This record gives sequence, C-alpha cells and structure tokens, in this order.
Amino acid sequence: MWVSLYFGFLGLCSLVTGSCIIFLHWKKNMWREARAQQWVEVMRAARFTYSPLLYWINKRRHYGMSVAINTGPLPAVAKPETEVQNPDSSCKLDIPESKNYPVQHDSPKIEVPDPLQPTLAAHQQPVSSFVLQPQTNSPLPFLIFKEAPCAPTLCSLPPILSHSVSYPLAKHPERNVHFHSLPTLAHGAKSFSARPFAAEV
Amino acid sequence: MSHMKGPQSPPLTPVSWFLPSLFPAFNGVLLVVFSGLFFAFPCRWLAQNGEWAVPAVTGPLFLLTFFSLISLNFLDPGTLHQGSPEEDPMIVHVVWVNYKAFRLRWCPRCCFHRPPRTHHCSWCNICVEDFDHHCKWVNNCIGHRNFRFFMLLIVSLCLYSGALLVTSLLFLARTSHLPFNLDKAMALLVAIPAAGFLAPFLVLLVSQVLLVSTAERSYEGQHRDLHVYNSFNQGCTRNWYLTLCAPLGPQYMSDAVWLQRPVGPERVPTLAPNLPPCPCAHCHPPRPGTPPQPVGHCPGKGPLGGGEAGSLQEVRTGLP
Repeated sequence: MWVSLYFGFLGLCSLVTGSCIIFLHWKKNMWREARAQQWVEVMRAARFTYSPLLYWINKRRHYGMSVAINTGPLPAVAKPETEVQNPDSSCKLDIPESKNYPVQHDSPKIEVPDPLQPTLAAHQQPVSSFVLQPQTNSPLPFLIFKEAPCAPTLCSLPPILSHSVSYPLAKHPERNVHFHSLPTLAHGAKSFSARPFAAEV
Repeated sequence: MSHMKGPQSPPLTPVSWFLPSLFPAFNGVLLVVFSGLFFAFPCRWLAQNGEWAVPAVTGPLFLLTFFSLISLNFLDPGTLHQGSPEEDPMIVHVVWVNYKAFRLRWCPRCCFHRPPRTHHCSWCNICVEDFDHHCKWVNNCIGHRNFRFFMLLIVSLCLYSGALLVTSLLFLARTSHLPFNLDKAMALLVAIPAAGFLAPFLVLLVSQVLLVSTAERSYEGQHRDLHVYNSFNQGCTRNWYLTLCAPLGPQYMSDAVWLQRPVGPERVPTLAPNLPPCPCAHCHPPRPGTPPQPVGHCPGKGPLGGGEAGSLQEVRTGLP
C-alpha cells in the first residue's frame, strides 16, 4: 500500500519539478526580453558612454592581463585575411579567418595608461574617440588602417530584418547601410522605388 | 553531458523557448525520480541496517547536484549588450591581450564589436562573455559568470553518480542471500543508469580540467592549433584561480545603470541593496583589487534620470 502511495507521490514531485523548470525557463525568456528592452531605453536616453569593450578591458586588467585597444577604419574588408600594412614601420598584422582573428605580433603592445579606466564615462562620445592617435614622440609602432575603396563583405553588414535579445530594437542607422543585398532587392522587386535607390547611389 | 560546440548551425529565426526547455525539465525530473527511488529503497534498507553513512553522504550530494543543476538553468552566463554609443561596423577594433592581437568581430544581431572570446549564441540569442558552449542539458549558455557553477555541476554529478553506483552495489552485495524483491529491483534500476552516466561525466570532467588548466574554451577546441600562443594562459594555478575564485564583478547591466532611467513622480527611487560602490571621489574610493565598477548612483546628488552619472566621472578615455 505505502509503495503505491510513494510512487504516486514521486510522480507528483516529478510533475511539479518539470512544470517549475519549464515555467522558470519561460520567465527567464521573458525577463531577458524585458531587461534588454529596458537596457535599450536606458542607453538611448543616457548622456554617458557605456561601452562593452571598455567593460571587458577593465575586467581583464583586474585579472592581471595586459590589455590594450586599437581602433581604426576598416581595412580591405573584402579580403579580411590579407595583411594590414603599417606604412611607417615594419608592423604587420596577419588576420586569419578564424575565431576572433587572433593575430600574432612581436611588437610591443599599445598600453592604455589608466589601469582603472571606468566603463562609464561622462558625456556622449562615439566609440571612435577611443582611437589611438599616433604620437610622434612615441617609440611604439602604431597600427594605421587604410581605407579601401571596395565594398564590405556581407557578414559585416548590420542587421536589417532580425533582432536580438541583446538588442531587440537593433535597426542600424541608415547612414551605415550602404547597399542592399541582392536577395533583398530580389525579394522587394515589386515594391522597388527608384527614388531611395537613386538617393543611395 | 554533450553540448553544442560554439554558435555554429545558427537558426535563422529565434528559437521558441518551449522546446529547448523540455530537455532540462526532463533532466530535472530524471534526477528527482532516480534519487527518490534510491532513497526510498536501497538507501532506506542500508540505513535501517546500521549504514547511516550512506544517507549522510548521498543526501548532501543530492542537494548539491539539484541546486547546481537548477542554478545553472537560470544563471546569467555573462550577457553583453551594445553600449550607449552607436558603433560603426566599418571600424576595426584590435584588442591586444598579452602581446597578442585580436581583431574584434562585428555581431550583426547585437550591433557591437564583440570582445575576444565573446560569441553570439544563436540558441539564447545573446552575446556571452567568455563563451564556453551552449549546454542543451540546462538550456543555457556557459560563460564567464556561470562557468564555476558548470564545474560544480560536473563535479557533483560525478560524485553523486559514483555514490549511487557504489551504494547500490553495496546493497546488492549485502542482500545477495535474500530472494529478489522490490528493493533489489529498484537498486538495479538506479545502478544501471548511474553507471551509464558516470563514464561520460568523468570524461567531461577531465576534459574541462584540462581546458581550465590551459585557459582554453570548449568552442575553441576544434579550431585551436596547439602550437599557437594562448594569450589568456597565465599559468595553471592562476588559471584555476581566475576560473573559480576571482571576483566576477558587477554584471554588465548592473542596477547602477538601471537607476539612471527616468522615473515618474509617483515612483520613489530606491537604491538597490547590492548597488556597486560609486567610484567617484566624493563618496568612497573603490577598494583596491575590486573588479571594474560601472558608475553607481550617489545618493543626494540629484534626481535619478538626470544623467548625473555622466557628471560623476571625468572623461578619462585613457587613450592618447
């Protein structure tokens, strides 16, 4: 008698456990969406700069790693595996087509002097303000990326149709959308309008 | 415990939450059912016959395993979002980590340049800091903020499976002179899956130990060249410290930033109890050795939502 009662109790416990886990996964999904939405609103209304890259760099510095950042315009993006040349030194980057494009380099790294740089900085500043400017009195070689007069690869385009939990309202500014992909043009052939196309051209 | 390596095979549309959550629910039910059978039959018989060490050992192990399994389902793996400035995908960011350069990849979903080892999980649809893998067993990504819970789950699963197997075999040996009954049937029902799960768990544990010792990530395993210099490797001891003991710091989306949102007049702004310390000089200086803190709200320095976080710190981009 007690055996059947115990099996019934065990089945009930299993049902409750499974239901709770499914419910909590639903809540987790909703929570992520809501929080990402709020995050977007906060970032849009913010007068400060909050950069994930600086957040990442600061954290790694506290972990004892030597981390620095260099920023520049896009090099020959049609062939990202090609070398990025530095015109004034022997500095050379070999960027393979792999995860994160790890690049071996023997030259000294470019150090960011402030080890406790805050992730959150005052005033709205574009990320490009973090560009390392070459200094004439610095012995360190700086990377200078040339602009290439060629079209970017499709993989570097901003999203147009899909969205993300991380950034649900991710509609990239039109000023950065330089061309439509061919499938998009083919799909929207019926609603093709010459005026926006001419404006882009 | 197999897991999906890396963000390959991305689904084109966001995956529904229901189907992926069925598998972790099934795993939780499996753990509860086998534990219930074990504690009710072989463990009860052994305890009634003087083996009190058996429930004293397996009970806490079950609680630890269940806790780590449930925690890993819902812990934040280290989600990174786009910051306040709109980034240009045409800009190339190169981050140097211990004399090795990483060209940052543009995440077309989240619209920002991903730091090294940050990847977009197409199952969770988020960018995860220090992405290790997406674990289908818990339907969650394993990343920077929950990797230690993942290790805890693996260790506890190995110990618990081993304890179930040993205890069931001990029970079968003790009752070998008795005729086949329900207790023996339940002991066999527990021992067989425990033995089946133990070997994969041990393999996974060994592989993770090796990866942590060399500061590698699971998703990198199939791409990494062994002769390539790993700039994240700081020595075995230091790697283990950073993985298990180093402070994680505040979440990227910390409450300090949430408090900068404009609030209505009917709402009374309150500070979160776990608010990170404000790094401005007027409040209290940041403790040395603490991880980077996003700016905190300084009480009494102005209304929330006024963008006062911007006035709390100077523009110290730190870059010449």
